[in-house]
Amino acid sequence: MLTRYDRFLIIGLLALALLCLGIVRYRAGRTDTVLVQVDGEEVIRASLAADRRFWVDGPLGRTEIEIRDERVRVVDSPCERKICVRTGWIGKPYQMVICVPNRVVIRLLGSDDDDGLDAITE
Amino acid sequence: MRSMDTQKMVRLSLLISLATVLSILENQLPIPRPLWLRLGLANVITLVALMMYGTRAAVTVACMRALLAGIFGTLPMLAFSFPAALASSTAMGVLHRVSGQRLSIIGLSISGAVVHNLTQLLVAYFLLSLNRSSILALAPLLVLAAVGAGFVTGLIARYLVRHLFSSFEE
Repeated sequence: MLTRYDRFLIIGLLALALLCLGIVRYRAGRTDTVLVQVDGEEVIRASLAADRRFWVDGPLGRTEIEIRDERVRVVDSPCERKICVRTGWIGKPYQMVICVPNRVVIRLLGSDDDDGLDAITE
Repeated sequence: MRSMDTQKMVRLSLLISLATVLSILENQLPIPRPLWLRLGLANVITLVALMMYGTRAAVTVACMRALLAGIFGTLPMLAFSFPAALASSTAMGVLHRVSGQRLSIIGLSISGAVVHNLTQLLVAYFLLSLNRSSILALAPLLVLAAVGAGFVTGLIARYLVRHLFSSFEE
């Protein structure tokens, strides 16, 4: 059913993906900072250590975000399909909650994150 | 596009409408699935178009499908789906031509799915201003998902093409 080249392709892609995944996991380390962007602009940078609830305003309206027990989630969003809300809690480096309709991106920074430098210089 | 015969035009139109319906249905059915991932059933139709009429037809079907299904979605959704449809159908067409018979329809489908997902990641990079490390963290997951989804849609397309072609031999 599969040709020899199909197998090369599948094995090659899987190997490459798993290798990259391993490297990312290995280098990610721990995270303690959450970054919230609206429309590409950073609006909030918060520590995961302190539990809090806040909101950001996007083109559709207000996205409510909660930090608790070193994790973060979207509590409520004005978007239609609520993918961001259904994503649930995230707590590992490089995990993201993305709300495309409301242009909100919530990212957990990793230790080698290229945004990490800004945190130091700020 | 050069003038085409009526039969081809009708069949392509049918494929476009089929793909559009599949695309819309797949978006709206409450099938339990990981949040960001879709099987990409419309890709089955793109593959059928590729096998029946070649690259240009496949790209036409994929792009028209993305535009038509986009009417029922939002503009940002279209910004993700259209470039991905264009890139993946082109990639499948080129690979089909270059590889001859060496890549089966399943191999083509997987390649298309990978290009599709990585294109969307690229769009996200520009549209949502993700940074490089987020992209690098997401890419392998998207490739893994694409291999799985591409395999399944390729398998479906394989059976569909076989039965379609045998029914076309009037």
